[in-house]
Amino acid sequence: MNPMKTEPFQTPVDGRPVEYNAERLIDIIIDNQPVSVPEGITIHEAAARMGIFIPTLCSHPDLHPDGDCRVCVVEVEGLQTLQTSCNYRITQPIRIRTNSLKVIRARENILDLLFTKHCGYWDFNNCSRNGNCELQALARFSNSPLHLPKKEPEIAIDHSSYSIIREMDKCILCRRCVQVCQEMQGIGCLEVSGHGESTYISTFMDKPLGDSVCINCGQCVDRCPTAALHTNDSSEDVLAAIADPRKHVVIQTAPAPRAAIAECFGIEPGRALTFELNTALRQIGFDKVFDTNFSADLTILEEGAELLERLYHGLVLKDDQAVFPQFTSCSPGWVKYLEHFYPEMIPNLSSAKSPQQMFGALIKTHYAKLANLDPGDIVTVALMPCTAKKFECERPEMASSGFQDVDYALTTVEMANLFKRRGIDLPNLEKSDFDDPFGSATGSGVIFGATGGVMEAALRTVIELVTGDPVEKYFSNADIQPVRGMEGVKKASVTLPKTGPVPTLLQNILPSFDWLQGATLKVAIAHGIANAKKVLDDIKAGGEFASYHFIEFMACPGGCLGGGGQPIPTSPAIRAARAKAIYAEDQAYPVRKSHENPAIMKIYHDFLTEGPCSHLSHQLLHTSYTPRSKYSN
Amino acid sequence: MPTKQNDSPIEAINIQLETHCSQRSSLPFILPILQNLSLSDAESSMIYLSKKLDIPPVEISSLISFFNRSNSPSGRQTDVRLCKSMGFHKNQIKDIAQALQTKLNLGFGETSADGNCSLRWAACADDPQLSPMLWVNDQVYTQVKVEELDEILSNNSNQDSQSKIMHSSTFTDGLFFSELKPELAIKSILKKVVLNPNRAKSDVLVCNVDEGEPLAQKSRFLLTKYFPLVMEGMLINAFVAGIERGLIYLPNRYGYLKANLEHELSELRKRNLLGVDILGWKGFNFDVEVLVGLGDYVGREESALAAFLKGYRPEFDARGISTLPYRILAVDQFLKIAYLAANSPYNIKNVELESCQLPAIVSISGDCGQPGIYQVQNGMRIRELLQRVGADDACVLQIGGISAPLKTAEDFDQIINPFDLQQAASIIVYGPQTDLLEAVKDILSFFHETSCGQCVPCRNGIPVLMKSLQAYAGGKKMRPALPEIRSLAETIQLASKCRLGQCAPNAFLSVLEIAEQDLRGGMLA
Ligand code: SF4
Ligand code: FES
Repeated sequence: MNPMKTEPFQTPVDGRPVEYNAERLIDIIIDNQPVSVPEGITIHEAAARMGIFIPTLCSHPDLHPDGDCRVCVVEVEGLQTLQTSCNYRITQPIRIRTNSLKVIRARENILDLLFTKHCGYWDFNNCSRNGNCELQALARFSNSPLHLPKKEPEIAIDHSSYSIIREMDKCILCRRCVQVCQEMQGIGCLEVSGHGESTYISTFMDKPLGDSVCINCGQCVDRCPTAALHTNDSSEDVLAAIADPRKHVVIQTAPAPRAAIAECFGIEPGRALTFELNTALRQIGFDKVFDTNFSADLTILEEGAELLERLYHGLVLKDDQAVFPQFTSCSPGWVKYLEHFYPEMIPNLSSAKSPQQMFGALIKTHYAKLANLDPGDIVTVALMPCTAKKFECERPEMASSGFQDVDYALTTVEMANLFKRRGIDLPNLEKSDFDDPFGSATGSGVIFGATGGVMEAALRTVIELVTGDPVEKYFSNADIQPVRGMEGVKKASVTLPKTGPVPTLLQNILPSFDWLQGATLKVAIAHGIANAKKVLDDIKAGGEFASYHFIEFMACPGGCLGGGGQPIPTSPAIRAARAKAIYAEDQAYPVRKSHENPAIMKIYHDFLTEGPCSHLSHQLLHTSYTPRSKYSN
Repeated sequence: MPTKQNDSPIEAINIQLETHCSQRSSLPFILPILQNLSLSDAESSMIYLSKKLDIPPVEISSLISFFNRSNSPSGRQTDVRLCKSMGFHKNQIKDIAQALQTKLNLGFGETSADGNCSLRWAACADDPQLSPMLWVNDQVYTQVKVEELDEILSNNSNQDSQSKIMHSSTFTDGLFFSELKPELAIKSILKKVVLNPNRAKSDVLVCNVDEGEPLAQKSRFLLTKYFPLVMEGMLINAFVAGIERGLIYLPNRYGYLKANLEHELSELRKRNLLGVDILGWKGFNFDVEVLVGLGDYVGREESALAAFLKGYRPEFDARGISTLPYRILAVDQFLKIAYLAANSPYNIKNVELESCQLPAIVSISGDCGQPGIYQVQNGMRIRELLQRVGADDACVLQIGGISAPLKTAEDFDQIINPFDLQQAASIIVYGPQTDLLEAVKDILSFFHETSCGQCVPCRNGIPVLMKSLQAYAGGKKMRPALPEIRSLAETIQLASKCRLGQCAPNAFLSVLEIAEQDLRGGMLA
């Protein structure tokens, strides 16, 4: 019997819905070639299917094409003006020209106008998107007919955010960031302001980004065609630390960057370079390379234990402080969102720190002692898929050991740029392993990188700890399929048919599991803030999610693998390929359950001797949250 | 000086929220309250509104910013605006402008250091006869003379501008509906037409008085002169479609009409021509309110006006926002409805179709003996019309307002194409005394100011045209050179998203062509 059941719920929100009707074919002619296409397909897509490339700029596979840049114009016979192919849907037989002189001239002129509004165009050597700029890539379609004067920088660069830098002199007003922030993320931090030539993208009252409600998810960075929005890169600081002989610089790498960094080197999405990366990081000069999966496993134990403890307090002790559902807390963008927009639900957030921060705290305490180092001399760096991790590092409460848990978080893209600057050919390096004492991790830690991964890892552990049965008894190969996939909100429920004795690890917090006999654990997963918002509103209104026990929230679509620091471009297909790489890695691990990780067992034996959610673990591995305003930081 | 009142903004906001059901569409009624607040008051009011309407505050500030024409705030006590009048009465306006600058010790677009007083240009008031026109806060003064300025600024003027405007002496041709007796049409409809069972109760019928470009003064004129008939057209439309809410949308430059219109509306209510059970017909309810927009020319595109009425940025042709529930019609369409209803009440359901058969009503302005509102019969030739308006010496004209290309003498034997009048029902005549280059500069700068900024060709292309025209007019070398600039202008026509951008270079291109011909003919040295 499979105790898990899922119901279909939710609209497909990740990516644009299919809007064409494959049943009805329409005969059209593109550049003199006749072809039949499904009704409702865009001219751009119809042309692409025939191998005809029409350049675009403002449209994006994750967003609705508004047709603002006009780069993609084509001629439709019988219409006086040119039409934008990105959003012109074919509903009747038409004749299209994609390369008539009219089209080419218009495109060249439009591109020229765009280039003159983009400061980076003359200064690309200093630009973080050099080589990966969508505007730069269009230069081959332009022949600069207008000879317009170049634009001088005039707008001060906004450095106020720990995560994201706004360089509005490079903005070409494609408005993708506005759409992402409003629709995909439901935040509404950015909006178009002014009108006409003085149009610009602004925050509320033109506040610096650091003072706004921005949750640092970086989805706008990921969609920005230029470097108008880019990450706050601290790789120079990291290099300085490495160059300093007194400093012991360690790095942890998260699974999502490992699954995606190859894309920065021209490799198709879907190939993980985990072990090549270890070699490259050592070449750069890091003293130790650790695997964030270790602390992901640790998070599962802490957060899983917290859940069981919460359930016990709520169900058995009737403690009304124990509120449900418990929310995961490893996505710092999500955490900041909750603090801003639903501060009254902060008690639902798990107090467990994210894996990045747990690792930092352990490195500056446990590891420092083992390696006989002064924690003040240790610099911890994290390679993350996430821009919000930069903000998380700087949270004042993240220094309970007396030292800042993590000093710098670098994104996938920043690291790739660093390798490139150093001439390191990452994909072709020898493989090498992670350093001890944290060693290699489990498959559970790896899948943290995909939406549903935290939930799957938690279920693997919780089911085994509670029932005493191997999880494979309930889910073949321990793959908990219902929580996987790219649906915006996923739901599942697990009935615990029997309970076993409380394992030693948890005996400090739980006397028995009898009260869980036959209980049904209801869990859900939401990714992308717009989806999170739906779930939260449902809970507030006392809807079905109010009766759930545990919900995984990730700020970014697809989870960490779709993070704001991941390689650009992104699309539903790219995210799916990254997810595949992550689940393949999971399969490759000999140990796939967090609580079976020998290094974890060892740390609870040697250091956190009182087990998960004990006093010491609360001091080092758990945190607290700050209610914030809906209108400013 | 007439000073502004400063009531608590929150209180005023609450009143509007209550009357407009706390929906996003109440924003157009509320934003004027926010426009003149200090920065901190504006911020707290926007936060308050964002809570009430459950939308991010940045969407409110962004909507307001759409209408900010200058970077300096309007004066807290006195805001003086002078109408530019698009090329007419240039000399008088220059004199007044000079005098204002000296008296207020401010330049145009400036605010005094204490923030109390500001001086700005205003959108063209579309009635050259009444210019120079001057606004001091909400008070409007017409045909202002330099000698009157002191009185006006000290609020001692007893100019009765309201009535001057309401009864402005614009010339009118014998328009086909002008003999219509009020209440005739509606009564025959009530008698003969059965009430629509699929009543579109939630729809809003909008009478759009915003013509979309300067000098097109038809809508404003018809509304004020034939107000009862316009209202009757609205009533009939509402009755047939089963609509209960009406809106008269005035662009900001006609804001001075509001008080008068509201007064007339209340008269209609007294006579039971508005309100509940109109004219004793059970269940026939309809009422109208007046909305003054935050800016001008938004009514040019239905989609933009609908977006604004819904509380969104009035971007032209912005996708994803349908015009529903707003049914937007221009003033003359209501007159046509009233006319058709009076003549053939049974056909009233095809009114849109039928009204196409009626002659076009256009405003004619510029260098002509008798500017005014005319009726253009199908098949009329340009030359005929020029004779009627007393413009025999016309050199150039625009059929379809400033959006249209220029027609020169060789075109004057053409028949006026009603299609040309669709974008703007306006004809502008340029005589030998007018400097065409100057006129085109004004036209381009109108499009520059009105561009919504969504699409690249219009947003970034028009400024390039303007600069090159300046160089051209100043006898300097054009950069980009002429062929390139022409190609750019064509790109703006072909690739802009909406009609505004697509029309913007029309006059510019015509002028280049005329100039070139002159060059070839050796007339321009
Ligand atoms: S043509 Fe001009 S006004 Fe029209 S959508 Fe484009 S920018 Fe806006
Ligand atoms: S890509 Fe089609 S308009 Fe920008």
